[in-house]
Order: sequence, then structure tokens, then C-alpha cells
Amino acid sequence: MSHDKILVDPPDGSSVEDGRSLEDALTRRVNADPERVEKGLAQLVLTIVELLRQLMERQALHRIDAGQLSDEQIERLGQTFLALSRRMDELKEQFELDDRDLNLDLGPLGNLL
Amino acid sequence: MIERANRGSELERTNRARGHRVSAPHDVGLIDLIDRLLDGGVVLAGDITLAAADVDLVYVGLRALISSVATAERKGIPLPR
Amino acid sequence: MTATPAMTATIYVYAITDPLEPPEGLRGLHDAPLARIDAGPVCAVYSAHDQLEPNPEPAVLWRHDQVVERLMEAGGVLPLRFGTTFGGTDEVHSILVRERARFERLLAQVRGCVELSVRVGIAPVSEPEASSGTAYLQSRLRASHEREDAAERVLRPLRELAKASSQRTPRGDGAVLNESYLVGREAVAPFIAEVKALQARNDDVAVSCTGPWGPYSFVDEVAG
Repeated sequence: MSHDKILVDPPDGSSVEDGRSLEDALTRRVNADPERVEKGLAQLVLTIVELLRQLMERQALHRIDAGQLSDEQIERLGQTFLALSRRMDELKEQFELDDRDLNLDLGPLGNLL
Repeated sequence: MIERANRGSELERTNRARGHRVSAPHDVGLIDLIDRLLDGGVVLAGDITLAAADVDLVYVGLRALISSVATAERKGIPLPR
Repeated sequence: MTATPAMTATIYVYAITDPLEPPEGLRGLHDAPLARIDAGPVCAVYSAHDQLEPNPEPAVLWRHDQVVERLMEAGGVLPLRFGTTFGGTDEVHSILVRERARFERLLAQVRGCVELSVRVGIAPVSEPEASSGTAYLQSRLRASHEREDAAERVLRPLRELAKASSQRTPRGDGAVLNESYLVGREAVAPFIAEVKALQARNDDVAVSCTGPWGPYSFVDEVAG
């Protein structure tokens, strides 16, 4: 059935999928199981942090592109984002969350990240 | 109609384009279907069985934030520090 | 034909449409027959069920989509999100009356059009872990430019062939761009030809296209 919808195939071996499994795409909710509330809360908080990190990073890249930042500022900002990225990795490990957990499918509201 | 590119002699190039994810073309159709039916379409205020859980309400404000940021970025409006 | 509300426990709604007749023999979820709610220039197509928990399994999703597609052959269609149920037809009728102007406007925009989905996959470049803040941001900048460049080369020409376009938020690491296009039926073949031509001209990215879909991405003004 799915074959009927493919109009143009990418070249053999190339990927145009974003890494989601079908199960991920269909089970789309934050886990609201009360026994895992803590993990669900961590998931929510870290998603927000990750979202803000990406937004801020995009802003920084725009400013670099526009030549608005000095070399010093770029290095300092980069260090901050690097440190934040590493801290996020630690937190994700601590709460046993991976990137897919933080790319929440939010139902009618679509993906945040 | 599916057209498969015959690129035997260009295997090196396609290897370069090979992602670390396994390509399963038939899933692209299903993924696109899911994206549309679950994230798109008109939303009527009915007894929507896939009802927004309470937790979704938290994200309503975030989505508005993202939209406004995305719009600001598109229009080149600098965001406050 | 319309079903009697008193006799149904749940109705499942597929789409808001022009005044049209569902094709003979077209069945909805669980092979239920289709019926129509009339509100003048706008209608809703639904099926009635004793009880229904619309489960988003692939087979069920495909059936919903198939109904949308067949209806589109008969007139303008605003597909509903999956899973919309009501206790009866009265409430739907009220909504149709209340939102008539908005639905008429949307129907006019999508009538005779289909949605095509295009994906552009960018080859991941493995980079050594950044040693400095500057190196980190530079590599992010490179990735960002690659995405913008791919969009410019492949997606921009396609936007010009379409009535409207709607970019989807990139998921994961952003290595795949995904954009939807509203295209008149008569323009689908040239559009596909252009997608293939763009792939041929840009062999450093992977391009795919699926469709035709109902205009799911072009009917929700609020979410835009």
C-alpha cells in the first residue's frame, strides 16, 4: 500500500528518513504513567532545555553569519554551548533518555525539536 | 509508479550519500501518512479520541513561543539578548 | 443519504467537503458506509458506529486516507485529523454552520489540488569532536549552511511550481529537510519531473517525493 504513494525514490542506499521508527511515530505521547512521572518530568524539562539550547545556538549562528560577533565572543559562546551540550549528555544518561525521547511528538502540536 | 535509479557505476557517490540510517523506501510513505493524519488536517472540537492529555497543554505556550521566534527569524527581527 | 442521529452511538468524521456524493461502494473505518451532513455549501462526511476507538494502526490510517482521496475525486475536500468522533451529527452540523465562511475559504484554496511531500537528505559528514568553542560553532555553522544550501537548490525551485508550501520542522539532527507543496492536479506530472531533474542535478543529496495526499498541511490556519 505504501508503495502507491512513492512518486520519486531517492538513489539506492541514500536515506531520506529522519531516524524515527514506526513505533516511535505512532506512540507519540509523553509517558503519563504515574509510576514513571519522574522520568516523564525529566523528559519534559530536558526537552525544554534542549529546545532553548537549539534556539540560542541558531541565534548565535545568525549573528556569526552577520559578522556581529568578535572572535572572542564566538569562542566564549562556543565554549558555553559545548559545555551545555556535554551537560545535556550527562543528564540524558542519568535519566536514561536518548535523543528520540527528547524529540517529543506532541500530538496535535507537532514536534518541538 | 516507482522509478528506481540505475546507478551501478556511481556506487561510490551513493556510498558517500549513504546515511547511517537504513533506507526503507516503503516506510517513507507510511511515515508521511502518519505525519499528515496525526499532525495535520482540520481539528474539530469533538470527542477527539486521541485527546490532548493534560500534559499537552503545557506545550501550547511553547509552540506559540516557537512560532513567534521562527517568524522573527524569518523576518530578520533581532531577538532581545 | 444521512443517518438518523438517535440510532448511532458514535460518528467518525473524515472530511469537510463541497456538496458532493461519496462514491458508490466507498467504505470507511471497519467497512462502515459513509453518510453526509449538509450545511449548504459545506458538508461533512462521516460513518456511524455502535462503538469506536479509532486506533492509529497503519491499516486504519490508510482507510481514513483512502476515503479522503476518493472524496477528492468528487470535489473540494478538507481532510480531518485522524480520530475525530462525535456523539451525533447535530454538533457537527452546528460547527459547519458556525465556521461556514472559514471552510468555504479553505475549500476554494484547495479545490482541485493535492499535496506532495518532498524530502531532501543531506549526507552526514563525520567531524572530529570539537576542541574549542570556535571549532564547535564553526562546524554547526557549516551544517546550517549545508541545510540552507540544499533548501535553496532543491526546495526553492519546487516552491515556485506550487500554489503553496509548508515546511515541516526538521526532526533529529536536521539531516533531512521535509516540505509539503499544494499543487493543482494538472501540475503534478511536471512537478514530479522537476523533482527528478533536481535530483539528477544535485547528486550530493537524496531527494524523494510521496503523494498525492489530501491537503492535510494546508487546512489548519491556526497551526499554519
